[in-house]
Amino acid sequence: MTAAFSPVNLQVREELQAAYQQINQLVLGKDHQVKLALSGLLAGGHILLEDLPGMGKTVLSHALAITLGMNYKRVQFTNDLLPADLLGASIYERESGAFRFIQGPIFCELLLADEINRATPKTQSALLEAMEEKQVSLEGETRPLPNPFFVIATQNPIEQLGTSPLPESQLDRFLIRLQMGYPTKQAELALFSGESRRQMMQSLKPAISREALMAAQHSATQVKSSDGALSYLYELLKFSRDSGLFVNGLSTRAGLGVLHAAKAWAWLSQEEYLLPGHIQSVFPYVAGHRLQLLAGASDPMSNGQLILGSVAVPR
Amino acid sequence: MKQLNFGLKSSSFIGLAAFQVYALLPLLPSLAWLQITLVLMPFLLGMWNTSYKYINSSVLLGLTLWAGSVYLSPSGWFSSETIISGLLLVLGFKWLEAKSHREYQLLATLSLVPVALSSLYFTGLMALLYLVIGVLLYLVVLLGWKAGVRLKSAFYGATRLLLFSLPMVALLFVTVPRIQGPLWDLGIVFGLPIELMIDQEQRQQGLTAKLQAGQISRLKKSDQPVLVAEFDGVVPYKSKLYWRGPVYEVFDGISWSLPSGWDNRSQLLRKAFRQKSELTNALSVKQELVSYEARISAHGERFMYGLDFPVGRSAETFISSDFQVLGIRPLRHEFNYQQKAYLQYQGGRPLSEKELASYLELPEQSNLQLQAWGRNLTSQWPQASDRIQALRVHLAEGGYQITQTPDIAASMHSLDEFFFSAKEGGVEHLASSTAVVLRAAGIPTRLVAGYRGGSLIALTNFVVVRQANAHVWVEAWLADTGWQRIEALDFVLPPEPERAKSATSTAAKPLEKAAKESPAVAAEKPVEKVKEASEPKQKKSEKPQPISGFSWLKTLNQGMENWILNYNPERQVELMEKSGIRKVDWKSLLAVSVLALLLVMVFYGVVINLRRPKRELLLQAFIRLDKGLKKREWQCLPGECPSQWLGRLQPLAGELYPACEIVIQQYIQLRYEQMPEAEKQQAIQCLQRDIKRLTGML
Amino acid sequence: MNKRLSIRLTLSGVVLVIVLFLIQLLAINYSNNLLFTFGFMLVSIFLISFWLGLRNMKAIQASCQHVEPVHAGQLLKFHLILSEDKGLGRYQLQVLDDTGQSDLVAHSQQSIELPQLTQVRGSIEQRDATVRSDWPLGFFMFKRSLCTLPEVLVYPATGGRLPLITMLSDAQAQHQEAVDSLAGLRAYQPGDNMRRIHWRALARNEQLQVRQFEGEQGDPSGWLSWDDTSELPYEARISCLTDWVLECDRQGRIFGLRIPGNEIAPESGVKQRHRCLSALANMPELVV
Repeated sequence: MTAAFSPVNLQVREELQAAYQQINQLVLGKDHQVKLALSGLLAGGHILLEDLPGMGKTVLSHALAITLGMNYKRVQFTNDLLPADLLGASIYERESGAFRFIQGPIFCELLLADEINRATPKTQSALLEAMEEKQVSLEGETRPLPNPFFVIATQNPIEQLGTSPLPESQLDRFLIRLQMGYPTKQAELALFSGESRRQMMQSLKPAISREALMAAQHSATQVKSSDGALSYLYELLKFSRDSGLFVNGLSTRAGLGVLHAAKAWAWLSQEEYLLPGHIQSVFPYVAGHRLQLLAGASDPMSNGQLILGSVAVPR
Repeated sequence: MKQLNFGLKSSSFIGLAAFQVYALLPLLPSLAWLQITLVLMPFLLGMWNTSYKYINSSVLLGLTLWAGSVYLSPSGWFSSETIISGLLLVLGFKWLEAKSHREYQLLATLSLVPVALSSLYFTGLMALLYLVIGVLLYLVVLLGWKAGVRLKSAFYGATRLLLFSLPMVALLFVTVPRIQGPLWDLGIVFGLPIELMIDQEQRQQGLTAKLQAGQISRLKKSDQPVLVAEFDGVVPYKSKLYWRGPVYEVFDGISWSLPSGWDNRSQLLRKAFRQKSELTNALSVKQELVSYEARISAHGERFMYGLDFPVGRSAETFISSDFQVLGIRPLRHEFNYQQKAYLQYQGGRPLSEKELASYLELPEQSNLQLQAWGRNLTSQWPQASDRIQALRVHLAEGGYQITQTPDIAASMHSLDEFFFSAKEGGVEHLASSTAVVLRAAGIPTRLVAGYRGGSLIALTNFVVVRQANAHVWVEAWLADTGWQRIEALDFVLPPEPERAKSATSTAAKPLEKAAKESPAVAAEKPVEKVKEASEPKQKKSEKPQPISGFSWLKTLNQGMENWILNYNPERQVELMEKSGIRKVDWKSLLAVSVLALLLVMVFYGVVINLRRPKRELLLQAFIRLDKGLKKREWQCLPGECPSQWLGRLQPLAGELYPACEIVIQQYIQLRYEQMPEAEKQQAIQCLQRDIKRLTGML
Repeated sequence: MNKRLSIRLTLSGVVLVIVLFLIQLLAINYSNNLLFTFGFMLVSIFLISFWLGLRNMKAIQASCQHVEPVHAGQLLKFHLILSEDKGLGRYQLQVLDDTGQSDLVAHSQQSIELPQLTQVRGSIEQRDATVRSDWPLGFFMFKRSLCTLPEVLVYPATGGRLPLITMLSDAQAQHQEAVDSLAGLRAYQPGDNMRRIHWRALARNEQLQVRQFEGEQGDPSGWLSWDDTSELPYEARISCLTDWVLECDRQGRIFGLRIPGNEIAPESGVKQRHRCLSALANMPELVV
C-alpha cells in the first residue's frame, strides 16, 4: 500500500472518478480531452482550450468548473475589457470617505476566460501575470488569489480582425493547451438526440468537494517516477534542444510541467508509477505550445508528436 | 629550446630526449671516437640550433665524414660498429629534421632498435631490466606528448599497459617458434651459397696436411661455416657427430702430418673402399645408421668431411682406406653429396706389420716424460683395453682444463708441459698427448682432425658445421675390434663452477638421459660450455654480482636464468610435447602460437570491450524478450511504451497473451517502479526465467 | 549514414611493425631470449592498443544541436554533443577536420563546436560528422561517422548600400491602427504611415514625429521590394535586401518581401525574418 493508494486516497479517487464520469456524460466522446483537462488541474496548472466556435469548449470548461465544486467565475474577454474589469479596482466610498477595493472576477478558484484572444494585450498580460504569480498587484498593493486558483481559457484559433493572439513567449503560462476536435459519429449522434447541453448543465451538481480535490492534487504528486521514466522525459527534452528543428528547446520548467501532468495522468489511470506511456499521453499538449518550428508552420500538436516519433523509449 | 617551434610540451620533449639517451648510451663505448662525435653531432645540433637552414648540408657533411671514418677504420663496411653508427646517424638526422608530433613518435619507435642492440651489452637481470625500462619509457613518450597529459599519469598509463600485456607476452614467449640464429645459418638452410656467409678477409684456412699445435684453437675462433647437412629424420645428438677430415699418422714432436702420397689420387683410389659390402664387412661394430645430405663450401682440398663412419656412395666421391669421404678432385666449388654413416663403429681393414709399426712410431727426443708414462701403463696393464681405461681415469681425475687460448709454447716437450704441469691447453694438446701415451703404451694410434657437432638449426633437420666446431680426436687400433675412437675430451670433466651451472641448465636434461646409454655422449656438456664461454656476451666480468644481503635477488636471477634466458627450442619442444602436441616442428608451433594469439586476442577483446554497467541485466532481459517476440513480428517499437506494447499484443498474441502479459508486466514493474535492490535482483532472475519460458513457447 | 568503423594503420604503426620485424631478426640472430621478450612485449602492447582503440570508439553517441543560421562570410558553428553512457572514458576524439582533440568522461556529455567558414549563400548539404581517434598509442587510426550534420541554410551576406526603403502596405497597416487610445509620440522612421505623422509636433519643434497607439505591435508594416534596389548589381541587391530585412526585424516592424518569383506577406518576428532570409538565400544564381 503506497501513499497514492492509502484508504483516504481511495475515497478521493472514487470521488474523482465520479466527477470524471459526470463530465464525460456531458462532453461526449472527448474522453482524452477531459482526462487531460483533469490532469492539468490536478497538476495545478492552467488550461488553454482552443478550437473553432461550437466545438464544446465552453461546455467542457463549465462542466469542469461545476463538477469540481469550485467557486468559479466566467469572464467573456472582449477588446474593451480593461485590466481593472478583471482584477478589480479601488472605488471611493462616499459613506466611509475612503477607497475600497472591489475584487474583480479573478478572485475565484476557477476562472473561465472565454475567448481570451479577443482582449487587448494589456488585459491579457494582466491575466497572465496573475496566473503566474497567483496574486494580483494593484495600486502598490499585493493581493493573493485564492488557493486553488485555476484558469481555463478558451480561444479561437482563427486570427480574426480585432483579435490579439497570445504572445508566444507567454503561452507557457498554460500548462496544457488542447484542441477539442470534431466529435466522433456516435458522440455527435448522441448529442443530436439527447438533451440540450445547456439544460443539462443547469442540473449539474458538484461531484467532488474542494478538499477532496486538494487531496487528489497532493496524491497525484506521490506517483513514483523511476529513472527509466525520467530518462525518457530527459531524452524528449534533449531532442527538442538538440534536433535543430525548433527555435528554442524545451525549458526545464516545461519538463517539470510534463512530469506533473504525466503523474496526474498516471494517477487518474490508477497507476502507482509513471510509465513512458503516461508521458506520451500528455507530452504533445504540454510541450507543443512551447515549441516553435524553425522552418515551416507550427502546429502545437504536431510539434509534440514530432518529438515523440523521433525519440526512442530508453530500455 | 626547440619545442617553441611546434608546441610540443616540454615534459614530453624531455621524455623523448631521455629515451634517446637511454637507447644510445650503451652503444657508444663500442664505437670509435670519431664515430661517436659524428653520431652525437646531430643530437647536439638539434638541442640548440633553432634554424633549419643548414640541415641538408649538415646531413651531407655528416654522411661524408661517416663514410670516411668507416673507410679509414679497420673494421670494414659490414662490421657491427659500422652498422650501429650508421643507424645512430640516421636517427640523429631524423631528430634534427623532426618537426611534428608524428615525426617525434616515429623517432621514438625507431629508437627501439638501438634499445634492442644496447640490451646486448648487459646480461641476465640487468638486460631484462634495461629492456623493460626501455618499453616503459617508450610508452611514456607515446602517451605523454598528447596535450594535457601529465608525466605522472603517462607513467601510470604506461605501467598499466605493460602489466596488462604480460599474460600475452608470456604466451607468445612460450609458443612462438623459437628459431635460433645466427641468421646466416637460416640463409644456408634456405639454400644460399655458404661462400656468401664467409667474410673473405677473415677467411680461415681449414685443416691442412700438417696439424700444428694451436691450429685448432685458432680455427675455433672463427664462425665461418664449413658445411651444412640435412638429416633424414631426427638429428642425432650433436656430440655424436664426427665430421672426418685429414687422418694424421706421423708425429714429429711438434706437429702431426699426413702420410706420404696423401693427395695422390691414383694411390688413394687404389686403396679406397669400392664395394659397400667391403665397408660393412670391415666393421665389427656398427650402430646408429643415419642418412644425410651435405653441402660443403670450397676449401681447395679433397676432404668432404663425411660423418663417421661413412657407408654410402655418392657421385664424384669415394671412401678412402682411412674412412674419409674424399672428392675425386679438390673442392673448388661448393659441392653437394649424399651419405650414410654409422655413428658408432669399430673395425677396419686388417693392418700389415709395417702399418702397425708406423702407427706406433714416436719421435725419440720429445715428450720423454709422457712416453715413459705410457710405457709404464704397459707394464701395469697387460690388456690394451685396460691401458685405455687407466688413461681415461687419469684424465678424468687429473683436473685438466681445455681452453680456447692454450698458453703452451710449441716445443718438443710441449705435451709434457701440458700433461704434467700446466694441465690446461687446447684440444689438440689433449688429443696429441693421448695419442703419444697410447703409442708409448704399444697401442697403434692415429690422430683424426675434423669437426665435432655443429649447430642444429632449431625446429629443422639442418646442422651447420663451422670452423668453431673444429676438433681432433684419436683412433686406436685394438687387435680384436679394429679402429676405435678414443674421445679424450669426454674424459676430461668440465671445470667445477661451470658444471654447477649446467646442472641447472634445462638444456642439459635430455642429454643426461642419453648419457646413461653411452658414455661418449656425456661429452656434450663440456663442448657446450666451451662454446658458450666463447661468446662475448657471457663475459664474467660484466655479470652483475648481487650483493650478499639480497638473496631474493639471487633467487630471482636464478629463476630468470632458468625460465627466460635458457628457454630454447629443446625446452620449447619438450613443453609442447608434454602438452600433447604430437609432432613439434616450426609449423605446428607457429599454428599453436597463432591459435593461442587469436584466443588471447579474443580474450583481451572481451575483457576490454565487455565492461557492462549494472542496469544492463534488465536490458539484456528486455533485448532477449524483444528478440524472442520478433520472430512473430511482435517486437516492441522504438518509441513505444511497454504498456502500449502490451496493449498492441492483446489482439495479436491470442492464447499466448497471458504469458506475454506476465512477462511484460514484470518488466514494466522492474523498469519503472522503484524497488529495493535485493528484491530487484530476485525479480530480474524471475523475469529471466519467465522470458526463457516464453521464448520457448514461441 | 555510414556507421561503419574504419581502421587503418598509421605511419607510426607501420614503422613499429617494421621495427618489430627487425627486433625479431635481432633476437633470432643472437638467439637472445630477452630480445624475444622485448619484441613480444611490444607486439602485445601493439595488439592491446588495437583493442583499447576499438573500445574507445564504440558506442559514442552524438547529436547535432541546432545551428545558428549565419550570413555568408561568417563562421558557421555546428554544435555537436557527444555523450557516452557505457561508463567508459573516451579519449582524443577528433571530430571532422577539427584540429582539437577532446576527451569524454564516462557517463557525460561534451559539446563540441565545429566552425566552418561559409563562402556563399544557399544551403550547405547535410553530411556525416566523423570522429577519429588514434588513442592510445597512435598506431591505429579509427574513424567512424557519428551523426548527420543537418542541411544548413546560409543567409546572404549583409552589406546594404542603400537606405531602407519600405513601401507601405495598406491592409496590414490599417488594422493595427486605431485600436486604442494614443500612447505617445516617437521619432519618424522611413516607411511610417504618413497619416500618423503628428503635424502639430512638426510645427512646434520641427521634428517629424508619429503618433503611437496602445495595443499596437511594433511599427507599421511595409514591403521590401526587389525593384527598389535596381541600381545595384545582382548579388549586391540580395545583400541589400538582406540588410533591410535585418533592419526591419531589429525595429520590430511588420514587413513583407517581394523578390522575383516570390512574395512573402507582411508579418513580424523571428519566423518572418527566417522566411525572408531563406527566400533571399535561395534565390537562383545569376546566369550570365
